[in-house]
Amino acid sequence: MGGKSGPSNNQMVQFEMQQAQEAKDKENKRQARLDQGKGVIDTMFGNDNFGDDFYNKYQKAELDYTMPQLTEQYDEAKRTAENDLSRAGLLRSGAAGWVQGKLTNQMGVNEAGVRAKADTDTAELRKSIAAQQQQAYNQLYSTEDPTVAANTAANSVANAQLAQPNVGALDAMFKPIAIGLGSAIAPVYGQNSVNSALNSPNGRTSNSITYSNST
Amino acid sequence: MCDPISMIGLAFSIGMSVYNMQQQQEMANQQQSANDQWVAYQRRQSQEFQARDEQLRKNAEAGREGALDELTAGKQAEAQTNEAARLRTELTPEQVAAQANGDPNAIASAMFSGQENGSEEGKSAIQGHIQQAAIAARKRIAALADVQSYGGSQFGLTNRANSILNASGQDIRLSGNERGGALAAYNVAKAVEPIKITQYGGSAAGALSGAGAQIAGGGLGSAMASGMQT
Repeated sequence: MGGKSGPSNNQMVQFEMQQAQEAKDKENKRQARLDQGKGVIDTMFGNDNFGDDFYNKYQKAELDYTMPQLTEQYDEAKRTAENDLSRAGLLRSGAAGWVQGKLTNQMGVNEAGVRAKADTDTAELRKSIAAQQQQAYNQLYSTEDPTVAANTAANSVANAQLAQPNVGALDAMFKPIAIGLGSAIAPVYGQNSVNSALNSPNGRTSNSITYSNST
Repeated sequence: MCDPISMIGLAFSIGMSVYNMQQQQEMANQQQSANDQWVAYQRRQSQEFQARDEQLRKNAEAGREGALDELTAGKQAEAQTNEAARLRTELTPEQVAAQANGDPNAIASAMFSGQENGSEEGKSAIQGHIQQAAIAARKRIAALADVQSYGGSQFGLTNRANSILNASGQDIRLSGNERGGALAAYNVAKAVEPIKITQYGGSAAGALSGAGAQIAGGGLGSAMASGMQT
């Protein structure tokens, strides 16, 4: 070669090695950004920020809306029962206690139902916040990996929706108790129960007592 | 000792070999230059791609971080409170608000006919009932506004979050799409191979050089053979 060098691909190999190193550095940075980004999202949607206080506020708002309606219905049912018992001369009887017991039972069960609904609705809010967190994760990975960006963004259109509580008026929560009209309330509580309770001096039902269903 | 033909053949062979070496060196230089150009091209393509990719990634990152900033607990709580306040005004009937505030005209409008002519004591009791009922209604409407402000209302929490995430999602999608396109174009650039220099004249020169050597060799062989015979 007369002292001159032949064609060398050394520079090309060096270039490709440099490219490989740059790719490695880039990937390390990408992973660091992912770690950091995930940490931010974890903290942001964690208990320190979206804690029980946040959700309890929603639950309280729902109960503040539904409970007065229930209480109102209870008060009305109670007042009606008092008036009916009074008219029937049974206000101080055992039958009055039976009616009061029924109302108290219904109130308790209804209140539990209303509270359970508020609780499940609050769980929906938790799900909605969790869905926001999930979307934030998706966007983080999409940002760092363009090949998944299009799919993830398209899927994110399917947003989380908060299942809202029924904001209409509550249905009638208390079954009517028609005092003095045994047959009227019989279909609701059962003829024997009603007859027994209204005829019993202490309000307790007894199978030995019979009642004529003539009104 | 050597016949002229052999000498000419030898000289020709040497000359052709020198020519051949020069050609090869030229080819090597051209190949080196082509390699250098390829490296420079690839480096430039790589740098342009990396810069473009990083810029697009930053665009996506800006969209993502902007969305996260709007979704902090503080911002969401503030948005929910504002929405609840808006809904309270929006949902509360004017008449109820006026009655709750004790507006006599509004309260009077709710009284049954004839009650206005009753005793002051009776009227006051009725008006008190109406006002209390309006206050209770307003309180419940406020609770309803609170509930609605978390989700289904116009600017409720869930709708707001979805809207923010959709906007940033579209920014990320755009950047991702552009990054995908830039990557595809770069992959084509990366597939470009360096020019391979081929010396078409080299083989001919080599053949001529070989032929000259053969002639020279043949002549020298004959001369040596005749010398041995003597």
